[in-house]
Amino acid sequence: MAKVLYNKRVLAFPYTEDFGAGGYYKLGIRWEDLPPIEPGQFIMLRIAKQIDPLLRRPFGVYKILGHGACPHTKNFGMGACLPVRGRTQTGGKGPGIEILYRVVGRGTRLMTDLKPGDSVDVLGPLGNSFPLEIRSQEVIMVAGGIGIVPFYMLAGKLKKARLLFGGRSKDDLPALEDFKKLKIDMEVSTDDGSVGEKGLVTGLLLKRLSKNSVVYACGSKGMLKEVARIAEGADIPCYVSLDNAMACGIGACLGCAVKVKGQGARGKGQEKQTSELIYKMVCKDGPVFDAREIEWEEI
Amino acid sequence: MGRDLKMGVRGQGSGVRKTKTPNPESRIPDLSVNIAGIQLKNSVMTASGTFGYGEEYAPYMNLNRLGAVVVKGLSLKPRQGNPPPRIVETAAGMLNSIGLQNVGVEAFIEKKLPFLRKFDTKVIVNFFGDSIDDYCEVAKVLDTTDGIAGLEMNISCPNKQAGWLEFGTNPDLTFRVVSAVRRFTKLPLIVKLSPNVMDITVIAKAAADAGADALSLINTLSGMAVDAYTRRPKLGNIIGGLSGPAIKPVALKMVWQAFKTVKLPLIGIGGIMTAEDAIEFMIVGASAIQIGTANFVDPQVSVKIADGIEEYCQKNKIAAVKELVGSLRV
Repeated sequence: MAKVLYNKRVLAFPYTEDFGAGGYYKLGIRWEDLPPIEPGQFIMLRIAKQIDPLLRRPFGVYKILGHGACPHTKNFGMGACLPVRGRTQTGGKGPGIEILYRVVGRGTRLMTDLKPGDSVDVLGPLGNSFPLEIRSQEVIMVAGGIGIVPFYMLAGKLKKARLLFGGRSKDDLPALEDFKKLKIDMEVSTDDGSVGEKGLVTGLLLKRLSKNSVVYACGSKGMLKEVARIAEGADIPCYVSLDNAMACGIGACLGCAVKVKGQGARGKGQEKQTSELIYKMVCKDGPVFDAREIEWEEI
Repeated sequence: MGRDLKMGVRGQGSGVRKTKTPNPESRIPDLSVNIAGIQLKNSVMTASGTFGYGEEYAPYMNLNRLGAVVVKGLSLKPRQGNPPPRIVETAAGMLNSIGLQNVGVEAFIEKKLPFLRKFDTKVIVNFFGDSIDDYCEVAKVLDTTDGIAGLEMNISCPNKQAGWLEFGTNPDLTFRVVSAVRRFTKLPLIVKLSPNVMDITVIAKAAADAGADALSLINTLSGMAVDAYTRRPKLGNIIGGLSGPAIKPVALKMVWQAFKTVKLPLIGIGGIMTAEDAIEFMIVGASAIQIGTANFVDPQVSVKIADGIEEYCQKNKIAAVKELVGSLRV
């Protein structure tokens, strides 16, 4: 059993009917025998032994805790155990992970009651991670709201990266301060113009895009769909991290299906199969997908 | 054969212990059960559709600890399944509309079964079809495949030749499909019953008369979930199947009813989360149980339940788990 180190609200998002009674939180979890975790991977969290809510909830891993004291640093290489500067984020309480979450329903609302020392059940790390073989290219990370989660670890792995971060308002840009401390180029947009440029984050992307760009994106399905369309139009690689309701997280329940294009659609195939649609599982085949693979009309 | 030998050793072991330790409390209870000729080391199985093909769970738990693995339901040809969203959580349960996505019987035999054979657990293959011919074809293929201990027929499946009426909701259709399949397999045949019926005993009898060797019950309860704000169904398929602790009382009742009606061994399914839940099913008449939705919550739950049943028997001085079956005091 992992233990809660801290659980604090970082942003209070005002209530809206479609968004719920919002709010962004950071949950620190002490995790003995912390396994290697790659940027983009997630965990399935269960907060207690209750039967209602019943299922675990998937959360992206935002941060690895306990640099220096963390014996696993060698597994990640540079950056994953940020922030560095010789001090650990938890004051030596690691190893562990930090989850950045938004309150969206009953499960996450109950999570806000977690206190230091409480037991939580963590299953993971699960899923794939962002492909990093294209390091030489100009990386653009596009995040919408809670979609910022995978990019803290990813930024640590990349030598040079640009972050485009969009949200509804200044209250919808969680952990902005963390990213300001990183030495990366960052631009911000909000729907209401309360901070950064007024408009959508895809507007920033259109300005920054070049032929050498590679795009990594995480956010709402609408945002991802538009990012994928832009990337395809510019003929540049684009990887998206998807979210979906799931029960098991390990490829057994087949609940988190996402429709993908047939094999021919991935570039090389010319004939046949291009229109054959199949499902892939966000938990096992993803959460990171090549944007060209996704059947966006079905999202 | 090797497996049966092991069972023998266990029996022998407890015999030896009798002379060594006369204290009955420390005696290891006999947890083995026999379902229609399938000898199981314990009464715990995993329910079809909640355990993949076993390989998904192998990194998280010890498959050798299970009485049997019931694999994800197979059809003659691979099936893509339903459009998402496919699952939604409800009060103490979940709804799913996976749509019987599966790799198909051929790919199962080629790619999935060899892995499962490596373990010391029985493999029970769940299957279905959308016509009687389809059911028979799958049964025929499985009947000649090594490494399968038994078949479990999912009859909660729409019949394309009868206006998509579910086989398992009609006693006549149930009889016809089960007796047809019976002709194509000598393997122990378990029929998995749908709870979405007016009277479970009528369907249980029809399956028994048609030659089923055992019955497993219940499959998911039909249900739906709606978003009050968008007014949209929460499942892509609009309706789905309810599972989890929410359905346990319904399942217990139906196992009890079936127990009083038919002589076949029963396998209890429905919302089992703990060893206590499992024991309750045995008390109302189940010889074995299947763990479903709980696998999603805790990948190790089946092993914990197997341990819990043993502990219960020890504490309550029950020499053999079989003694519990149908022991309801009324």
